[in-house]
Amino acid sequence: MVMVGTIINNIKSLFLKTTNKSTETVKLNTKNDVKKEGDIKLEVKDLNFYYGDFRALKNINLKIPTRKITALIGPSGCGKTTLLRCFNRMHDLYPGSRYEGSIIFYPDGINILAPNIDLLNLRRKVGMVFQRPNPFPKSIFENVAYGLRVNGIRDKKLIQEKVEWALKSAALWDEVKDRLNANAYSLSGGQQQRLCIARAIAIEPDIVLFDEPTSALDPISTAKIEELIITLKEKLTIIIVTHNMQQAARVSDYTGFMYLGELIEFDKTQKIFTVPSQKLTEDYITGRFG
Amino acid sequence: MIHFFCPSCWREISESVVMCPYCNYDLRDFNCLSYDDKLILSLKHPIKEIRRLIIFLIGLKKLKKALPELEKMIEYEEDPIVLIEIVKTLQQINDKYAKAILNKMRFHRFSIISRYIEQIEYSQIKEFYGKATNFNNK
Amino acid sequence: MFSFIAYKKLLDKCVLAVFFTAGFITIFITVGIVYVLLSDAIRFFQEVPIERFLTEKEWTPVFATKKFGIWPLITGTFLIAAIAVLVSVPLGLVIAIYLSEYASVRVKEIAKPIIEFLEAVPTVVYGYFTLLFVTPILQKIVPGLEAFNSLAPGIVLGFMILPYTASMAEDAMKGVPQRIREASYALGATRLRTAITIVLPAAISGVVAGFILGASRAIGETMVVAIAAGMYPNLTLDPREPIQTMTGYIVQVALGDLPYGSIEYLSIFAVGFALFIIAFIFNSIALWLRSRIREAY
Repeated sequence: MVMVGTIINNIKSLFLKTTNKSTETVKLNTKNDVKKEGDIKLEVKDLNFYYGDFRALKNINLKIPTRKITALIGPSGCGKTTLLRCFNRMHDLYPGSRYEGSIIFYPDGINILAPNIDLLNLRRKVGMVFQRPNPFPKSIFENVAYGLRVNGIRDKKLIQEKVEWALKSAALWDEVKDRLNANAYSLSGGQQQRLCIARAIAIEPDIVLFDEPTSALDPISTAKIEELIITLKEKLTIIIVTHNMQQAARVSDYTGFMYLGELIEFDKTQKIFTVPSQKLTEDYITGRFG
Repeated sequence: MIHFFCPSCWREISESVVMCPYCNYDLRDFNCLSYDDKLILSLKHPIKEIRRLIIFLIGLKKLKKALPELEKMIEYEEDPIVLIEIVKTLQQINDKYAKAILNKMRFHRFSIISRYIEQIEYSQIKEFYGKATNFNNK
Repeated sequence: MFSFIAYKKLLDKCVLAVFFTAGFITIFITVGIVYVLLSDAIRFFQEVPIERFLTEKEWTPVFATKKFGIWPLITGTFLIAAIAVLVSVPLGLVIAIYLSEYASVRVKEIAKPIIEFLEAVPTVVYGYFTLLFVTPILQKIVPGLEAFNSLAPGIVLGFMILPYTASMAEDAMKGVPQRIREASYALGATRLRTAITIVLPAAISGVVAGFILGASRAIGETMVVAIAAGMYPNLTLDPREPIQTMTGYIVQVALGDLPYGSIEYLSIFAVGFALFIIAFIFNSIALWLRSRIREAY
């Protein structure tokens, strides 16, 4: 009985959420083409990636537009997360990974994959939010302040301001402002994930990578995070890997479909989902394989 | 691992077969289908997230061709979230046929669906008059 | 068919009985030890009031003028343990951080068994190694170091308890989920910063539990100190002087031919009981800390 009650409640709150937005109906963002060079944030050229001998990414060519949300979809094991983790060179933490090709970071025009690049600096510019909420076992405040401290900010007042700003941007401030010193693990899963987003944006990166950010969350928390991601694109370039195609369709401006380490199709989200050019994309969207 | 499904009976099959071993569906037929027809076929997909997505995409494309299938679907679909997606899609398509189906859904066997429709329409009316009064104030 | 089930049931009962007995024996032995210690310690305290035991400053039970102040033995014990911990904690931390955060899998595979092998070396070997090798070397460096002293055995003990300090700390740090480290690296933190400000605090209860278990091992250690620290109960904090620890005293008296039931003989139970209490407190703290390892990450 109790379970039925909670299910009904969940559905109800889902309604409330959707009814609030019902007038604007879900629309895909179609304005602003990638035209000028200045609109591109990252340009992937002939990227190959190897785990030992296994070639996980095959000749990827891709242009990530500035201040847009780019989604990467595809069946599990298709390399979408692998590609995402190339953008902040997360693979370098593990032995046996090898990159070929280049990823140019604009406007600086530097190659992210160059061996001599300052990885710490790169990761400050390219933030990341992970699949499962992974706050540090510290207080809520310290979680957000950590990135600032890593960046060499010592001024306590400045740290406080920035933490508040980040928590507000992550739509978490009102829920935690009275208990900033509480352990981050006292928050719910959805709140923890928003805390992770706050932590990532506190250091004001250019790009934030989201690796299936809602796969471990309930529908209501998912809706909140999706809303948050959309508001974040005003300032940031966002790349999101998602298993949930509807999420990609709702949230993103551009979508890339990956299959077996290859980028099959990359286009505006509306186009990918309504008139895909590749048979493989059609079959994936319609659930023929997965 | 990537799993392949027969687009007719949605049982798992091997990637390479030409004919579904369960329902004898000829996959060469499937490969000739247009994307729209594939979408309509997938309304019977066993995974509800896929059904939801397909209904969402039908709304996005305003695919009127899919309306008869949706009309059938409201009878057998068991998942309220998928049904709600149907309501949204029908509102988006919003032609005569879609409105007729929507009217039918007001008396849906799930009372939660009919309530949802009421709620949505109420908020739309409220919004409309809200805007009107704002305009008057100016 | 029926007989088969009956046989299975019988087997089940037999196995249960074996396990129960095994479990019961360990409890029985523990209770027995406590009983023997306690009963003889009480007999000791009937003859020597507990005030004398706790307030006198000398420990001379085998002399003509008997004094029963436990403090020289306790300070001796803690002096050695403190030196061991001072050596072992920084070293153990550095090793643990290196192994869990920096070392490749191959280095780890080689280094960990070697560290754990330190525990397998017989302690008497450590004792003579200290007396014949470490002390002469230290005498060249430290002026005024006597042949028997607490510095050399303390240092050797520090290495001996590395399996606790380094290995347990490494286990605790390894238990911190990788995704928490990744979160730190993704913010542009270095390996060292991640290790010290994220991984170590997250694993702190396990790390400290290892330190405490190591310290309690150092307190209970007998052979090394009996051989290399001297047999001279000495209320001092100078690590260059000979001292005697509680365990050292027990060995000395137990190996001698003191009459059963004499006050000297009973004194080892009093000392043993005091040692038991100290070790018990240390282990309890370590266990309590370890139970906190399972924090939700």
